[in-house]
Amino acid sequence: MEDEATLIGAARAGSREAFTNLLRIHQSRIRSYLGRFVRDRDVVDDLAQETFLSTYQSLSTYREEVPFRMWMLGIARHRVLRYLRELQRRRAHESALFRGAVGEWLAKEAESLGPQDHEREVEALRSCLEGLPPKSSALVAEYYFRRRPAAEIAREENKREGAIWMALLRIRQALRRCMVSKLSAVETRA
Amino acid sequence: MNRERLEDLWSRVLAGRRLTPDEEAELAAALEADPALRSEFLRDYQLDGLLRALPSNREEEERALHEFSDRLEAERDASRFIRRVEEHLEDSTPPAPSVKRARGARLRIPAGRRGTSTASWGVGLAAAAVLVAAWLISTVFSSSPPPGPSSRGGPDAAIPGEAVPQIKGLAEEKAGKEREERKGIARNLPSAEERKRRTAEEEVQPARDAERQAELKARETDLARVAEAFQEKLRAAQDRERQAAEAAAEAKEPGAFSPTTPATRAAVGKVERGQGAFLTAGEARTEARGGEDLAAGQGLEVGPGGSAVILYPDKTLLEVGPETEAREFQAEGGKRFYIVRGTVRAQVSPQPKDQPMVIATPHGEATILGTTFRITVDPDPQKGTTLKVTQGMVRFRSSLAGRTVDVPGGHYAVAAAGVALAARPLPIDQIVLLPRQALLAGGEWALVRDAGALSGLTLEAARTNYRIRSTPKGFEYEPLRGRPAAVFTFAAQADKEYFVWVRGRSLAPDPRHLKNNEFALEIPNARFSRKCPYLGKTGEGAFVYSIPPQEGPGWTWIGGYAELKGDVPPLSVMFARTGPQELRLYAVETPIRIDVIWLSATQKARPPADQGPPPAEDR
Repeated sequence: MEDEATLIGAARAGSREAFTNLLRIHQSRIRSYLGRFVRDRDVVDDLAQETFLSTYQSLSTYREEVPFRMWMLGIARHRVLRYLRELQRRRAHESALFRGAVGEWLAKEAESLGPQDHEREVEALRSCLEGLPPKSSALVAEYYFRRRPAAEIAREENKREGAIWMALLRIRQALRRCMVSKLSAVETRA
Repeated sequence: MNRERLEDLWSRVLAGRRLTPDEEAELAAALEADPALRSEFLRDYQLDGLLRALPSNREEEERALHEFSDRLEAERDASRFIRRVEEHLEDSTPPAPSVKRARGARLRIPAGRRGTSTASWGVGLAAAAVLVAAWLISTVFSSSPPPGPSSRGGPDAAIPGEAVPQIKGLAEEKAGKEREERKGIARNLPSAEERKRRTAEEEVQPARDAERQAELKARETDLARVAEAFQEKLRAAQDRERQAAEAAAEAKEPGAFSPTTPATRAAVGKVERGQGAFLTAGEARTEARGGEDLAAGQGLEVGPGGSAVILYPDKTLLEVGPETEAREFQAEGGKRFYIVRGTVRAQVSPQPKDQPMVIATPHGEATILGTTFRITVDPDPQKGTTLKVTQGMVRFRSSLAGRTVDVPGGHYAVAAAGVALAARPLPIDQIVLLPRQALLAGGEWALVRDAGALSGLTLEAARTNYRIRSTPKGFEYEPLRGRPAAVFTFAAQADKEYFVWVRGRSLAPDPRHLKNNEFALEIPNARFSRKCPYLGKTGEGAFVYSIPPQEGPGWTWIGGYAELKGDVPPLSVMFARTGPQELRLYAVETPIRIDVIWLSATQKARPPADQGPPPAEDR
């Protein structure tokens, strides 16, 4: 595949193939960013498509001072913010106040989380996943990566489903601590 | 409520289980009351989402790329196809002026991931709905006069008495032509409807193979476009017919014309506040006072130094600036008005998809589904209409450029003579860095609650091991690099001078003490307006700030090293390049708190202690 700058140039000149190749490079990054704020996979798909389309339509405004992936993440951020705010209003209208409030809080999080922060956190998360104890690592792989329902895992392990949810919560807490420490270490080194 | 219970509820939320209303209320109250817990759970929510999205699924991703590629292809083909349909229609109808795009008529091509069959039905039903609606409209209008108020753009028409018979004749002739044109279009509708019906019947039989699926998909896409083209044509014809009929009616009674005298005058919204503002209806002008209705068809004029706020029933808010003239407010079938000149800032609640809000100007048209933006109209076509979008997305059409562009949040576009229509990033004049945006590295800074902080949260450095050595030559400050810091990332422009204001306070028991009031800022890609006397080795991108101790324990704005007096000449920075930047905040002397860091291209004098930076929507 050609380098990114060449692809951007070709995409600006109208090559859809070049643009598709750009998306091929950055798609998973965009999806993981959207996924941290939105649970519904269909919605993530829709937001990703909207991000791609918006990126395509605004290619002429892209300035090379900003890395292309950051620029795309910025567009994805606008999309997800808009979605969360709409969700919040809709939920408030439906009297689903709790979910509306979560939407509002998440929108604030999304506002303050820059694309660079996301990049760093994903990198730290990948590194922390490698350091998980084998049992935790296996549970993460089964539940998150192989997408097996918690109920099914619980049956196999002869546990209650609630125990699996709680174990996952503890693993996430450990991962969060590890990420904070890694991010701080990186910052200090820098 | 104990933590165990909260974690249990939270883990159920993340597992997608429904809580009872009581449980939801319980959890919401706990999260509302405890920002630290809320922050922790929200981070957990994001981590859970990240873990779900982390493994990249090549198959899914490739499929998404194909869908996207198809969509681009379809959108490109659509314009060609509509041109063909238009040519076909031109052959069977009298020549018509340029076609105006129908509001809300855009058909979205459904994503293939929902399955071809579902997608087919989606497009099929949408096309059917459009066709049936168009057919009904054409049937109704063929036997009754056009309803509703005038929507014409030139309300200043004055007709001299001697020209009346001639104008009347021409207008009636034009009305007749428009009627014929609309009938011609309506004649074509049944055959399109029949084609659509046949395809719908075919769709219910299972497609035999991929080729057949592709053929069906192509046909349904074509039909959707035909429907859209018909609808656009029909609406344009109806508009022209209505205008021609109105012109004919006006010609009969030249003195009776008023752009704002519709048959019914339902309230569009309310005047929330008004100062130096007037509601207009034809020649009549009444003062726009708070609480008054803004009726359909009315206009609004705001004089120099005046302002007005209009609130729609759905909470959509318009802030109308000085020297602004807006006309023909309508709400039926979607909010709509026309700006002759001036500035309107709008905060638009989500609008129904088929009834977007439309703001017309002499130079173009903005179509909005729900967003925050500002629109400024200069009657001079060289300056034109400027649209600045803070959040969301606005579809903006320039009649001068004959183009449409989607303007996303953080961007602006100009519709003016000789200006290429494009969405461009907004200039960055105000950068506000709040404590919650900081990435805390090294453990000296912590996020704590503080009722006096502008955002309710502040960064606190309770202690530091930073060293300042006293030497015979003066004080020697330790290099900053590698030290614990609060790190902010943001975007800034290279061609601007930003004044760097920090709101902070010392927590020393005696705030007049000179050893508990310093911190340093480092901006790696920028140069401060002065060289810091204490940080020779760190370069020109860093400066030690000092909280003026004589001002007591409260919050204060600091513009530099203010050890001896508050109003020191403020420091400013210039960035080496436009784009993402980093600012690092270091503790030098503690304990101190930092509330907000504000880089401003316009705030050149030290703000009063209780003044905050401008809110996000005004930046």
